[in-house]
Amino acid sequence: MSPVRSKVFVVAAMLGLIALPVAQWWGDRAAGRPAAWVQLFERPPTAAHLRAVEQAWQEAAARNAYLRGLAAAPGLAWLRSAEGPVLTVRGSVNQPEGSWLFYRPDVRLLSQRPPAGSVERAANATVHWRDQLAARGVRLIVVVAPNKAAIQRPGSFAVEEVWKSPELRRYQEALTANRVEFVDLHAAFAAAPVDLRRQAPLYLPRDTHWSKDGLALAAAAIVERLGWPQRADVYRGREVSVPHVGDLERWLGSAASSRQEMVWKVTDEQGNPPSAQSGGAEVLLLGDSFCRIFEDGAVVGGGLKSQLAWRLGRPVGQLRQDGGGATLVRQDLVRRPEWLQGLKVVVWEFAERDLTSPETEWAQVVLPR
Amino acid sequence: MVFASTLFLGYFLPVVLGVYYLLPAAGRWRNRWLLVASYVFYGWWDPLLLPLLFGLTLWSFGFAWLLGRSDFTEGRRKTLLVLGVSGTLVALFFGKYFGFACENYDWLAARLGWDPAPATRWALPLGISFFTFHAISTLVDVHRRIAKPMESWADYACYLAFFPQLIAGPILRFGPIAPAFAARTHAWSQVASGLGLFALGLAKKVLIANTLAPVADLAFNARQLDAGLAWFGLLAYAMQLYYDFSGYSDMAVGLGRMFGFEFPRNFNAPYLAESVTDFWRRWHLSLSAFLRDYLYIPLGGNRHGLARTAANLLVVMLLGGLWHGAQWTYVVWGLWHGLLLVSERWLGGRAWYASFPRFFRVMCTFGLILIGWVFFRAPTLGAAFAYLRALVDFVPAGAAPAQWLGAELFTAPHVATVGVALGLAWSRRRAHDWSMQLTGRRALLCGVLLLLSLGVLGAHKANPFLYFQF
Repeated sequence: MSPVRSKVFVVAAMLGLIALPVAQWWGDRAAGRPAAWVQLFERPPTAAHLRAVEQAWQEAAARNAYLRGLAAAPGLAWLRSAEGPVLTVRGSVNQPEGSWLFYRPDVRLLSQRPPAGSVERAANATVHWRDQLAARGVRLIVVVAPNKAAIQRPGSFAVEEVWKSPELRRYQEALTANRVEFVDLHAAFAAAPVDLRRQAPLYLPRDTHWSKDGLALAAAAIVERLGWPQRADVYRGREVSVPHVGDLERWLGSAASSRQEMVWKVTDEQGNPPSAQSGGAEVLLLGDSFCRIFEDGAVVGGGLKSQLAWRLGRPVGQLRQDGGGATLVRQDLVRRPEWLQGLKVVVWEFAERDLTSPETEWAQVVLPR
Repeated sequence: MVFASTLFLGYFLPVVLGVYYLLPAAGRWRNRWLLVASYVFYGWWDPLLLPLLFGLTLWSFGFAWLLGRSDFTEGRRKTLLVLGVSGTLVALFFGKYFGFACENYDWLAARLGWDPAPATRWALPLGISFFTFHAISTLVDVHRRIAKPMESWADYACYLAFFPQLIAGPILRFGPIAPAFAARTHAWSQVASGLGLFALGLAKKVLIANTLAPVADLAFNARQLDAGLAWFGLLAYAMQLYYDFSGYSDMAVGLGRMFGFEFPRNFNAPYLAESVTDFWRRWHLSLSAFLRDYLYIPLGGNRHGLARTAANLLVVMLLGGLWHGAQWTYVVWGLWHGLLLVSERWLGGRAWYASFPRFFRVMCTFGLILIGWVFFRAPTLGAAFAYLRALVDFVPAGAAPAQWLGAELFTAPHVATVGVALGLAWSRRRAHDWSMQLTGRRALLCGVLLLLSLGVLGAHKANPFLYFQF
């Protein structure tokens, strides 16, 4: 290549690189933020500070309009589609209407060896929590919401075989050994009628959570464990179709559209969803987003709380922390001791992923005296 | 700081290159600027590591200066060489192998009822395997009178710390490269060629190796594997390792060219090798040459009969394996290659499949290399043997873990990337040579690859190179 062309190539390439900090500076200035490089001189250059600066710069780069423009180049988005938090699996003969979405960390909890030690921490925290409640005369029932990927498998998406992880088995064994009450939803889903398992998905195709039928099976299993008489005459239940945008659909970001989902909607005589106030509920449901689904937003009265209330014929209280079923929701109860008045049973639900996720904290929570 | 980061590409490289060419070519200003930049580059990981690099520079510079004196007897020079090299190896041992030695001592002590080793452990100082080898190369080359010691301390410090090769090579032999630190030429065509090679290396890393990294990670940490999944994961790892390391080497060589240096090539289409002996003439060439010249030949090489040659090969490959990491898996990987090399030597320098057609020779060699990569990648020996068992488990695993692993691995981008990677690895094109004859079209392609890589980097959070851990 001639010296002139070489010079043009070098200068053009360098300008392409220099455009990165210039665009960064421009973006920071427009947003009223201090320039990224200023952070470097804010503290002595220790390894920790340099890593923090590097991370801040990388995060700033992800906001950089110049880089985002480059990343939108044809082919790159396709290349990156194999990553990201949502795994798309194509539809099947039984479910031809579209692809199924799965939360990738949930899928990896199934396919990957988990870190050691997390199950033991979970079991210890559970036994401690049961003891805390028992000292106040409150019964604890533990419910682990199955990982969607353990129930709905790629291929047909029919629930042919429910996969229970060795970690969940170990956790269940530890609970049994310590006489902690446990509702085995994996077994309940596996024991569902064949027609239901093959034809009706127990989880929503484009959401992390269970469907109307999955919810019904879970509520029935919990009520059976509770052993109280069922009263179907207090609340009314009817099947309705509601628009719903799945959380995974929303996560994908592009053109999230709602689908019609069937919901078993529960109401009292006035047409209001069943609800319990603090200090007046005998049953309290502690849980995460598995308790939010159909109990928040466009439709209220179709979630786990309402399904339990419908079967038991009495209102059920609820404390909920999305993504915090393992610890945050128990801490929430500590902050609201009024819920403990008159309380007989705590149904504690958390997601299966909490058992093995390294991020999950399994703190021992102490109830106030 | 890694090359494949917005920090390096957007800030460090333009500043260092721009200031470098603004400084006068006469005198040593440019070398001093490169030295400052290299210390900033290294200190960016952890400023507390700089005294180690500085101390080793003083140590080897001092011994090289003594070895270069003409009034010393050969016996005294040999003593100085042994002292200088030993001191360097002590730094390497404590930096890299002390923790491994303690772990093995503790294992033994637990069985013999001894007290465990003190709990003192520290992180591996980045690049120590490379800059200690550079120091050893200096001492040996000066002792052998292949090169004279550098007169300027700053030039020598620059050689040892030169940022393009500091963290992951290629390993620069002191003798051939030393003159370039005294005087070198600069030309726009050379800078353009270096930039082109750098862009190719960056694309190898960002577009191919990074895409395949999750495939290999998922396969090697899977709960359940069958032969299909295991082979795909292993192929992906073989490609990831090659494109990651050769990409880094291309970037290092390209950066060297931009600053007027010509580093040796580190790879020469290794997966086209027709025997394991041939593979080691194509893979990590700078390490092979270093081990050959500074270990194998001093041990006697092939000059003392077949048995001694076999022993020398095994020792060299075992130490080569251990050089990659303080783990038994690397030792077994080295032993595997040592045994393969010995078997070929036993057959008169030919592989047992040497009479097959070329395609089968290449495939047989590739298969043997792949088996070695299982030990290279697996976290423990137990995991490596389990993976090898999965490679021959031809009954499809039907349970959910394997089904989901398949759903994640066999995606169109992964399959296509493995296909492209294999196609390029088995083609006759070499990035090193391709960039030497840069044309307008090639430059345009390099520019596009540079921008695409930059776009991908903006979306990634971490980008470690595999060879940094060595």
